[in-house]
Amino acid sequence: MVFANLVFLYVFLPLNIILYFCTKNRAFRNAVLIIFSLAFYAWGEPIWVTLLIFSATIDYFHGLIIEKNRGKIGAKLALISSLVLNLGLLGIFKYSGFFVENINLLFGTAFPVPAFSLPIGISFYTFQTLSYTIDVYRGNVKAQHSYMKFFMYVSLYSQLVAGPIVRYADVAAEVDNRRETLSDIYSGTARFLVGLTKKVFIANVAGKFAEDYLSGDLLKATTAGVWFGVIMFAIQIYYDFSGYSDMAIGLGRIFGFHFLENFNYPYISRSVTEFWRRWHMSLGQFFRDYVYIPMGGNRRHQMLNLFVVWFLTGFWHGASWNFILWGLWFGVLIVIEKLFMLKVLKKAPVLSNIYLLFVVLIGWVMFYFTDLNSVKNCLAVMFGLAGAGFGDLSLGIVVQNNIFWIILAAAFCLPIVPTVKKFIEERPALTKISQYIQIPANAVMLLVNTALLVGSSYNPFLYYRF
Amino acid sequence: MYQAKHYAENEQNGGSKAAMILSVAVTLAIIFILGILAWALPQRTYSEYERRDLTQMPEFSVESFFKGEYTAQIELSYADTFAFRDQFVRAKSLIEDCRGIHSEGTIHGKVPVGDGEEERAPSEDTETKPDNNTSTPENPDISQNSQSESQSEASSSEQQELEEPDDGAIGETIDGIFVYKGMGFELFGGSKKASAYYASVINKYRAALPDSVRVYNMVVPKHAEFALPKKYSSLSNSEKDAIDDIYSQLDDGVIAVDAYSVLKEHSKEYIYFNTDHHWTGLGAYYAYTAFTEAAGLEHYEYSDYTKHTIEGFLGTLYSDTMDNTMYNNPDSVEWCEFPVENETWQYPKKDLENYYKTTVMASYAKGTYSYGVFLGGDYPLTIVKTSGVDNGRKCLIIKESYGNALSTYIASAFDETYIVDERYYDGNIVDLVNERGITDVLIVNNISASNTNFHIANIEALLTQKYSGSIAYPY
Repeated sequence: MVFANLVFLYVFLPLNIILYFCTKNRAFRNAVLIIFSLAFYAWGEPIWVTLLIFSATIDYFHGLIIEKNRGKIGAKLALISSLVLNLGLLGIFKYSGFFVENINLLFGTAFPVPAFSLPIGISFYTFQTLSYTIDVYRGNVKAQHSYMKFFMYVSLYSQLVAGPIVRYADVAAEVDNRRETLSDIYSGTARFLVGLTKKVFIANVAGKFAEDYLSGDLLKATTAGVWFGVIMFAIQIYYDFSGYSDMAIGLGRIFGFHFLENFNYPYISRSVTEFWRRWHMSLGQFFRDYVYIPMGGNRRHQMLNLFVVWFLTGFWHGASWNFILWGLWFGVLIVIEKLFMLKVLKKAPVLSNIYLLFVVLIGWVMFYFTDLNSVKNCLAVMFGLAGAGFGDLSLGIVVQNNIFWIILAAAFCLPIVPTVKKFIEERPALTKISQYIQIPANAVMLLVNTALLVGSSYNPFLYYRF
Repeated sequence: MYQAKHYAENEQNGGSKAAMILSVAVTLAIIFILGILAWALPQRTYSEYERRDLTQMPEFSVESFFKGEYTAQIELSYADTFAFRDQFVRAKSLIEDCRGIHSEGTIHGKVPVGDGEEERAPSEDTETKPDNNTSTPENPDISQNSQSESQSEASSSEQQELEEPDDGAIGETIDGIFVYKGMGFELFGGSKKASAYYASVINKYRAALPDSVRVYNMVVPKHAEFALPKKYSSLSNSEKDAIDDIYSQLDDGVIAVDAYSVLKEHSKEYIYFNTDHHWTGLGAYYAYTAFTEAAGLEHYEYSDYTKHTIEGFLGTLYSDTMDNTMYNNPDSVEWCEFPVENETWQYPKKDLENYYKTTVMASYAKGTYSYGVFLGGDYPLTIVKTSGVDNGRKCLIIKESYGNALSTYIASAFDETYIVDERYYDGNIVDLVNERGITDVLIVNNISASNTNFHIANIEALLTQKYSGSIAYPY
């Protein structure tokens, strides 16, 4: 199931809230979360819910074994076994088709290409359970002895299918002992509705435009039209993914969990280095802590370490060459920045912003088209080397038809909300007023999104692919 | 340990407890109330407003559950039958209007590029194939009316209940729609390849039919060709060029009917609807005069007819876009009484062994079905037998929905007229021509249909397909 869906909003969520809050019994509340999480997952993946249960179960036992054998060879073996099993699952379900295809291509062989449908969220939950066993091994966190609590952490539906990648260490205390407070429920509700609005009111609309302007024969498209399409895709993917993270964080907060932020206004970055500290932060931190630093970080063979991390970052997003290319594109830029460019960028405020947006947009072209030929054609049209001229009448009309929406979508890529929030929080009188404003604001967001969802069958979830 | 929580949002400290409670309570109240109403209110099966069947709750089966189809359909069905759906859909279009400025018109959907764009992969078209049986709305108003209208026996009126006149839009694929001052224009892309295919199929008709039979082809331009304001003309490709291209490839034995010139001559008149993709009865009338001229027949003057008008018609272009300027600019449908004494029969879809008596004009048509006044909608076969014409000629019209309006005029010029809908007729055209002694065959299509592979393939298949049973005729 997805959040931006009427069945979720008007059936699943109210039932979940009623049952969860009808008693104060912690075990009952945890059980409610588990049952609803399983139902949430099985709704879209009735078969592969078994994989989720399997993955959670093996990591639960691995955690216990590691703790029992701390300092002994058994712990290391258990860690290795956990790595092999988790990465093995990912390898089989996500990458086996890609590997076999490329082996066939390379050696002219004809092995049958496995065609697993990618279980939803597998890239997210295997990383979560991986982080658990590694953190237990490193002694950063105690193993969870209650199977039920551990299973609740892994299966928790708020971040199960599209992140953020919540590390056990961050929520361990709340898994055992959390408090649902009015202020959390209040801010969680508002946060969820903001995320829903980002998804339904911005991302879905931008997605339709991206599709309109980037599909069909690109060589017959205009330069302005393709730039418009790519910018719309940039808006779509940011609002889609960060909106989903907002909804996950908001839902978590309603049930007493505090997840880390996953996005921090990435498009205001002034370098690629900064962009990746602001975009999908939980993934960047995962690779930093579990790959880059263990490999030696900047202390030894930094170039190799960077190459591996950016290869993996790209590959994590999809089993296809274009995603690898996309990852390496950022890897190369980060190396160049490290060598000398960061110093230059620091001195050029506006230019550095333009540079960042430009390279990110080029990146989204590689991300959008899974076949490299389309990437080439798209870039050719963008730079006027092909295509049907610069612009056309229809694009002008479309921009006019959506001008307020475009301004809004661009504006909220800037940190307007935190700035206003800070301003309000520093003035107690305003705090109260803002809370009263939140009442109609919530109602408007909910009803507008409901209207858009009722009237639209178009609601693909971008990060489902990963 | 890696650094944590400094990004996390600050806890809401202080403030008003009452405001926080109210804010959560109001949100929950909306969710609970709408959730309960969605469950408690009666479920509709059809939306006249959107002109489509609403997805119904699926039957549970283990197989569909494990394929994920069961849950997916529940989601669709839930959205389709949600409380106050019509109001929410209307609200959606108002919200969408707020996204920008519309003084220069509004573009809905993707503007076609041309050459190749009009062509559809067969897989896309199957969605709109009649076999899927998605095109028979349940509309009690119309079925009751049509029962009282028809003079036939009980058994045949049961048939009529099954077959509602639809909007005539089945299988018509649309790209972008441009709305300007309450008028909707389908934008034309066009495909030379599809044009060549279409012309070759018409030529096949000429070759397959006896030499004594006259074969006509008429391709009808659409609204955008004449009424799109000059400054927007680059949005749509020339339909004249596409029609000329088709006509230039037709064999000498095919009589090409020039509907274009007469429509252009009268293009300032109300010959196309603003909210619907069809022409009006008047537009069809002008094309009829062009046809009768080509066929060497007399035609009626428009002033000869007894006319009626249906007001408040919001057509397919409105349903496709839900555009507010169209909503405020509904069409009216003027229709002419059939001028000759006649008997008319129609066949239900997928069944050529049963027919029932009906009338040429479906005077009961109203609302979003108003174009259904012509022939009552799209049926596989309609037979009109006139008395008093007595010129010894029998016409076969092969058409999509543009032909509905045209047929209601043409049929008065022949002893017998057989009207076949290319999308629904399961019989063989050569057999029909031979068995019924047809003298004139007209293939009529709007320019989009004649550039859409789905339609062309249907027309082509009529020459070779065979009906599995034996076709029953009323006389």
